[in-house]
Amino acid sequence: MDVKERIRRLAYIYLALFFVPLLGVSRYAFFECDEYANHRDNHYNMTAPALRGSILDCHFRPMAYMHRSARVYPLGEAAAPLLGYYSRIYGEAGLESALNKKLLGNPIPRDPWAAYKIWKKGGRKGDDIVLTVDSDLQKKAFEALGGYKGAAAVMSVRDGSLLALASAPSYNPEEKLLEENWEEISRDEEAARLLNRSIQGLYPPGSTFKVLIMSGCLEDGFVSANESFNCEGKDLVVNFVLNCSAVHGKVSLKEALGYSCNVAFGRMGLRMQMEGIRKWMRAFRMDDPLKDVPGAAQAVLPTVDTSSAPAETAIGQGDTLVSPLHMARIAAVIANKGLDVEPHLLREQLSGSDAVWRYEPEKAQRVISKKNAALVAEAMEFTVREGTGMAAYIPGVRVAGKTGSAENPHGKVHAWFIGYAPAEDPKVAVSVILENAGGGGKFAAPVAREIMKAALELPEFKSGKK
Amino acid sequence: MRSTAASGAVLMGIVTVILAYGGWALSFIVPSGRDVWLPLEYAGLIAFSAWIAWGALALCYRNGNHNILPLTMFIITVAWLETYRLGFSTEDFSQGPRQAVFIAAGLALFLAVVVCLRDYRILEDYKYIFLILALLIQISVMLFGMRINGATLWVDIGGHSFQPFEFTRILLVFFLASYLRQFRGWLRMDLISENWRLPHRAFIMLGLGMAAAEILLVVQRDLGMALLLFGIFVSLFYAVTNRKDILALAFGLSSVGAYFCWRIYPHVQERVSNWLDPFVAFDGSGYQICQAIFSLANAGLDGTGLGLGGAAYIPAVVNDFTFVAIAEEFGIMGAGALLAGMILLFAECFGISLRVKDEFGSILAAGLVYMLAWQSLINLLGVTKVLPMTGVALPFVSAGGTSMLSCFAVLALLWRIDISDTPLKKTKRIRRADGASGTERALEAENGR
Ligand SMILES: [Zn+2]
Repeated sequence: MDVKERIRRLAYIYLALFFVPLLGVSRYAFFECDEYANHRDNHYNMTAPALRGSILDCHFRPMAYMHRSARVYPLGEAAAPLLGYYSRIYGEAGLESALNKKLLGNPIPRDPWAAYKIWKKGGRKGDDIVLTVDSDLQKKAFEALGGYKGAAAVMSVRDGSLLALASAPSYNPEEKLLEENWEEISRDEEAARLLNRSIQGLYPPGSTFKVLIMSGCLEDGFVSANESFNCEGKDLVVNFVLNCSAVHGKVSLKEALGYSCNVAFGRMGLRMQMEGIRKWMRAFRMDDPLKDVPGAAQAVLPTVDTSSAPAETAIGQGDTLVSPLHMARIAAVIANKGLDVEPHLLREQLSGSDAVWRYEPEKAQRVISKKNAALVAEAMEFTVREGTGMAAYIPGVRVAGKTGSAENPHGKVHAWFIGYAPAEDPKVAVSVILENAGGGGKFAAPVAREIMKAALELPEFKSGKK
Repeated sequence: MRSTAASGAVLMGIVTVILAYGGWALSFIVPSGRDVWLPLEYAGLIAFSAWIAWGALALCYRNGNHNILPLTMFIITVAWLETYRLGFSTEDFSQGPRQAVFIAAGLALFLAVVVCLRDYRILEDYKYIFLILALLIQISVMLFGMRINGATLWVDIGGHSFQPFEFTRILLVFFLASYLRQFRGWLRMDLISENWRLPHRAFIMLGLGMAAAEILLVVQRDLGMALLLFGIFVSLFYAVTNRKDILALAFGLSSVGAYFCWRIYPHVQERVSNWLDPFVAFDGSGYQICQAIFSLANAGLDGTGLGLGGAAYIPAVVNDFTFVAIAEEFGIMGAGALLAGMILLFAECFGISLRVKDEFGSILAAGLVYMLAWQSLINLLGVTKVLPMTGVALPFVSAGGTSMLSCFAVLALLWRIDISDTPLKKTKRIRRADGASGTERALEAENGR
């Protein structure tokens, strides 16, 4: 009977149509998963309890983790500019933003085999990221900034791992407080609380730049170790007046660095010329995009080529802009006897308990010879022992360093200090800037001292010493 | 393939295990301060009533299809677990228990209809009454109903709101099946012939009835139900008459109608634009479908796991989007299992229509299954954004008493049609009486017209 035949045919069509919703599900769960699973408005990424990965410090202590569908930051303000925030309303910032895809976990890939492997592993749980940062040191570095606007970068000399990246002023990243205080946090451009000054803040380097100039001059033979300069307190280079803090008289190269003699370094800069300065900035890898430090800014190399520019640039003024991390890296090169190790912030990515990615150290690059590095190191040690950086002295520890007071259009000079300790067996390199605080020797050096002291107390350095 | 009590028992066993395991799993995600064992108790209620209903049928009607109820219970169980769990997120803690009671009531109704409705063939005699009743119900909804989301679909009776179309759709299937069977000869004739008056009358009556129902639904802004009715009409009309020209006319007219609806009604335009790109109106009318897409994107192969998805962010999730919530938490595999359950269930139901010897029974059964299947498809295709969202409940899955009871009533009717037609000792007494009246009717139909 043909009625039944037609009923049967329609039945097949109806039943076949039930496969279409499965295609509809697969379209979003599989083919377009990438787009929607990591969409910023996707509720799952914001609320699914315990599914966003954690950010851990170098001892696997959590710095950011999910607890009862809220993001918890045990360090609070101390690490907020570094870690960023994670908000249902305002999205992510800092490492939370840079590492977002890894923390969210893998969307289901289109390759069925890869999809099957993810399924076997337990689905879309986000990966954990292990940083090189030490929570305790991060906290102490932030406290050491002591209410100033500024930043500190602490780097392990041996392997380039960043132990702390502190920045102030900060904010409380807990979601509720963030949303309550959002206006204050985001709108205040003067405070720029969301900026991680230690890697994103760009400042004139001031006299800390002299470490680079001295290294470059020695390498290129523009200055010899036993050369001395005559300082009369000031010097006129074309139309630019080089001012010294005092009349230094006859100074050796070591003393020129130790007392931060602008006249001596202005002359050295003129010998190098701008091309030489830029060459050495590149040699110290200041134009490195720093792929393992997410969000890090590149230094701004000087572009002005007037005849007085080399003198101005050599004493860290002019249009050069660097971040505290760049300066810590220079200190680390000297500490490493001329070898540059790449600074990095990410150590591994854990999926469950398996490391799916691990930082692979690149071979250290020689920047300056061992001999010249030793000369600069000696001068830096002299700076702390007898020169401008005496406030960085730690009893019983040989500290090497260089102060800086960077003139800027915003008011008082920025206080700078870069250095490393202990000088005989360098373990930690540090760089501190306090915006508009005043002289580097007076303001930044004591902060750097506190940070180095705390760093040398870390178990890995303490046990290494014994 | 004939189902047996044994295959049904195995399926019932599987459903019982899923219920027990699911109820136990729910106890882990019960919010603190709430009774941990409550889900398991209600799972027990569902399992108990399902076994009673299935067991009674298996004992009394040995020749019935004993797979239909377990397959239905499989769909219901998965949906109930998800509905219960979504209540935790929306803080509607009575949602799961309430739905369990509806399921138990539905099973009771199923049993009652199977036992009490001895002869479904009497339905054929009341076709015009059904049509008028259906139109009256829809008109009264328009006059006394509550407006929700710009559509007048709900009636409030004693504090309980229910959707009358859940019942009018069944009445309309009764009407269609009876009418098409009675006038099938004339409907198959050419429109223009020497005997043109008779087919003319049959077409006018059918056309007026369906057009009136469609227009009422469109005026009430119930697009989903209009689409459902259109699908049932087209399917049944084609199956009975094989008139492709009339179908083309119906499609043509409804396309023109749909175009004018789209031009006239802002809410239709809104649905279409939300279908094309919901993210344009993320903060407005597109929010629901956007959240559904996110839920689906989170599904993966095996889902997030019960209680770990975010489907509660979909507004009115347990009314229309339960399937999405199931897909999110049980993954592509879970959604596939549910769809497989539906395919098997509707295949068994279509089997009834194909097996039944009585022509009215066959057409009526086909109409009822087209209705359930097409309604399921409208919902499923809408929530997965294959079609625009029209807000139709998913049979046996969406939360709500009206839908659950009416779907069980339909299922019972199908079951009754199945057993009424198979002469076996157990039902012989009833069969004889029915059979006689059936033959009478058939003779009457042959001679009288
Ligand atoms: Zn001087």
